[in-house]
Amino acid sequence: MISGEFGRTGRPYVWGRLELDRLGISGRLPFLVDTGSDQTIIHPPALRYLGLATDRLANLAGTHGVGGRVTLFFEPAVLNFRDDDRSTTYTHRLDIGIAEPNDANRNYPSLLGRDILDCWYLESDPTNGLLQFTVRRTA
Amino acid sequence: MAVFNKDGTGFGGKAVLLAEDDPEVLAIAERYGGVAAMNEEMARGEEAFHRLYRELPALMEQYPDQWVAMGDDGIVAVADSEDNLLAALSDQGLYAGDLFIEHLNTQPEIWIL
Repeated sequence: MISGEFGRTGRPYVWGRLELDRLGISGRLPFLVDTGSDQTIIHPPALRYLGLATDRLANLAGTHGVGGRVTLFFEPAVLNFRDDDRSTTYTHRLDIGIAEPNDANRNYPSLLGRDILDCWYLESDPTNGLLQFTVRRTA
Repeated sequence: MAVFNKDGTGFGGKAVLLAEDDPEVLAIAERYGGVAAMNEEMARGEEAFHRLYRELPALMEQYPDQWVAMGDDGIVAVADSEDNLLAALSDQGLYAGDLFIEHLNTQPEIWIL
């Protein structure tokens, strides 16, 4: 079971360990669990903490978000998640989206999207502080 | 958030779950000193993540509107802005990417993502 947490305003979070091999970057990353996002996205706060400059990125794509259109780069990545019940690590390979910083998204959390969540069973019970995930399958 | 390639077609690739003995997993683990060492790092990260949320009510009382960084052994830096927090971490030789950073904002923004 992968355990998440509800933040102070009730936002659901889970963390993963990110590996960006091509860029030689890794780190611990909290993600807002977002079943409405097609893809997992790294937003500017995490770029600042990881020391990742977007001028090192290529593979440009566009996205439509609720806040409008933003520029996104895709980068091969590995995300590790900890299963406490089994004392094991689940490793996912994906093309992670990296949002180009702008005035609107500069404080946004990184998003865990359906590219990963579609493979997990999600239990969310904010009334009891319960947020947990079971890895069901690969895509 | 919907994602499109530049030609307007959907991106939509799914993540692939790798087996524990996949060469890519073992290569990553090697950087940590092996599978056991990587699992230990994951366990430390897990504890720090949950500790931040466990301690949030007390931190909010102690450091309202400040920025804090949670490491393996607790809070390692407190500052009045994100820039100052990152500078304090740099002064200590700490990598922000290995910490959980939180703004203890008493009037949090409303997000519609």
